[in-house]
Amino acid sequence: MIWLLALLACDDPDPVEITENTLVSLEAPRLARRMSLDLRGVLPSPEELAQVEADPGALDALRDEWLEDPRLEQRLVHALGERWHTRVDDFLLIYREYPALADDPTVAYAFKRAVGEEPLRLMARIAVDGRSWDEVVTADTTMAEDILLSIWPVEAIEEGAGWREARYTDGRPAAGVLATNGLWWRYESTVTNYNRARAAALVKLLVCADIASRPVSFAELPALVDEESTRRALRETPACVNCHSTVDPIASTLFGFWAANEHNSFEIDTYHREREAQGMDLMGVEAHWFGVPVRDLADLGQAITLDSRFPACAVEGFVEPLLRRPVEDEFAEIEALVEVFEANGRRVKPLLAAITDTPAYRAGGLGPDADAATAERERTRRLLTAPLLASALGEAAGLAWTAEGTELLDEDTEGFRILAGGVDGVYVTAPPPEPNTSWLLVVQRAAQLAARDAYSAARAGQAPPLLDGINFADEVEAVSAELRWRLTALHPDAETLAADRALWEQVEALAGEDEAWVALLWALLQDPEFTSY
Amino acid sequence: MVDLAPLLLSVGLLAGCGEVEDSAAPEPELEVFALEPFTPSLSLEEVDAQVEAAITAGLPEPFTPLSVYQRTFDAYAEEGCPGSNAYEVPGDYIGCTTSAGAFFWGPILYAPSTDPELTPTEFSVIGDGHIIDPEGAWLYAGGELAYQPTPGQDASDEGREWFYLLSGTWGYGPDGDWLGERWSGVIHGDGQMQAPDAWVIRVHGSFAKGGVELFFDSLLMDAAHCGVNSVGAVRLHDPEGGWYVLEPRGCDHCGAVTFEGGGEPVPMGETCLELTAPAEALAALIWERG
Repeated sequence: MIWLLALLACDDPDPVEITENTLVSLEAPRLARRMSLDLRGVLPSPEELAQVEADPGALDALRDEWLEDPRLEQRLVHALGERWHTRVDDFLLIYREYPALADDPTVAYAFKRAVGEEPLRLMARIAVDGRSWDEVVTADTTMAEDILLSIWPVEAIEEGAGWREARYTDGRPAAGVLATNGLWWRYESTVTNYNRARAAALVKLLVCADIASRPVSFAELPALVDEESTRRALRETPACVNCHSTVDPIASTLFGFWAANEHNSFEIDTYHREREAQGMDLMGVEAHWFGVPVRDLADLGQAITLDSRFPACAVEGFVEPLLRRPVEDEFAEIEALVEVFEANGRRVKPLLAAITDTPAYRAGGLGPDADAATAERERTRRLLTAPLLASALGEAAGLAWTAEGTELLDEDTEGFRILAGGVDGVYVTAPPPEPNTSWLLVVQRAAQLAARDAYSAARAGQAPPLLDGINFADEVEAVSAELRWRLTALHPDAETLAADRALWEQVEALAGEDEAWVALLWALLQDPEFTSY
Repeated sequence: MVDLAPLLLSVGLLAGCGEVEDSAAPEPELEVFALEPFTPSLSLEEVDAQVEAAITAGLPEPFTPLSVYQRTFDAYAEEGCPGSNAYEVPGDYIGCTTSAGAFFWGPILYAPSTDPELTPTEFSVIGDGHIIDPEGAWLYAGGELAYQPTPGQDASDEGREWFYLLSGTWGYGPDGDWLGERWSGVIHGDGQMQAPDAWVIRVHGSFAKGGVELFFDSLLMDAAHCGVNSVGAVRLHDPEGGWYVLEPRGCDHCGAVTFEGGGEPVPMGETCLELTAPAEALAALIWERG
């Protein structure tokens, strides 16, 4: 009987309908804070908080305004990075291999970020420009900044500095991110892997199907004693065919990126059009996308846009970073969101707006009908992890935590990205759902630096936004109440304010007034109401 | 004793839920879209001229890049730069500059025969580096060179067999032969050789040079019957997509030219390739190498 129960437990989870009795929405100011952080990476201004507090209905208009904020592009780069995993610290090449960069060690961080962000920047730009998400796999442009423009066969087609629209000059097909070096530097292939790992990665990233999770029965495998027996097994043995019949025809389309030496810059900087025919030649399979014939990378992109899993996977890819949790079959709103996405020409901004309207996004607590599964699943309080810590503290308090050109909250070789809840894309592939010790230690240190820098700047007459208009001659309670409102979008109660005064007085007695204000700021910047959202 | 079998079975089934679900999940029926066939953008004369120019410059082989590398190394290497081993550039992520101003960046690993008695002429080079000479010209070494004669044979053997590979990106600005400034591709060859004028060589693979992309589809050249007899195909990539397929036959290397662009093959006429001289030059190199 137990086995029968076990089998019954294998049924798909039913989509869960979220009602107002399941999840309780955040109050408008706190919800505004969440939206501002998600869409702009910064805290709402005191004016914005006041506006929403006075009229909660104003939030929709503010949200729409924030969707047009230039900072959305950067936020999308981070959100997409958590899924595409291209912002890694180590590629097979380093900056020193390029004579134009070799003599400047401070370029190391910028180099690896430039490479890893190329596909993310293209996707983010497509999203903020209001272009169809299909262009992610069909665009004939990419994005580049000065480093990439100096080392790769790519030229800018947009005026200006920083990241700008660009186009490869080596004859590669128009296939959006599929034709970016950044993607294939991250998902490299050995000579004998023939792009198979790359194909599996594409399937997972673009249609959310995990080929690597398909079961393999090793008992069924024949002895793979030589090349021919391996080839035969890939074509005939069910345990092999299960995956290879899908992967190999896709891998066959990627041979323009197939390098004879994956460590060599000449090999991996340039698209090798002449090698396109090697796929069929070496793997013995025609190019296909799940049975749909394609001839090259451009066809592959088109085939992907016609796959119904592509828009659904794109929606999932934007829902997850906003809910800060995996989206499984239980998420009832997903179909409605896909409809919104399709109805709006697969444009991202209307989708983001729709996601922020869902009860799951707005949840700030559990309602009386919430069951244990809901409590386990939903993130009613989300953690301020590395990218948001950096942007929120940078904007509000002026924190610039760098060393020799490296952003310490955005890097792991010298810095603390993973420790602070970030994703490096190799060792850590998802942000932590809850606080942990290393996150806490980094938060404490970042808060300390931010508090000291912000207070010093304010005393020097250059107050960062957090301290703008703050009068340190006022009562501690008044200052604290205002700072807490700006930082957390919550009005503190009397007990909290009394505790703040007690802290201030203790430090003041030991080290003086300036240190007391720094200590209070430090405390506020590591308060759980600030470090969550 | 408690019988744990049902419990263990249920645990196993539960643990396998995801897999069962995944393997059973049908892949969706996808829309098959119409592929607009590519059309030829080159005339027969242009196809002929491009292929001819690429082939008469020389058939790609690993001996020329090895020779260029060794010559450049000999010209500029000095004690301590790039290292102490002959024809080896260490991969130290630093590189070195000689007193004459040549820059070596590695690794470039040259491996002569591991058993000189059995395969005295065998070699391989794994390249992930470059040399910049004092005039600023680059020697590209990104990929692999290999030559492997059948063990136990040497240059005096009749009927000796061999295999070679040239893959990746190679080149050196000052040289004007087929290797030229920058060559990219993956080519392997094999064959038999009884005498300088009696041999069979097959080359297979693709390469790009000077904007022209060629694919040798098991191009077999045989000097045993009449001059040089050929069979196989030479494919030229159209700039817009699709391939021109040239099928040289016999000793005049003449054959049909068709365009394959995803639809029905388009006949374009006939052409004759000048394969004899490059094939004989390649045979001479292999014979000389032994």
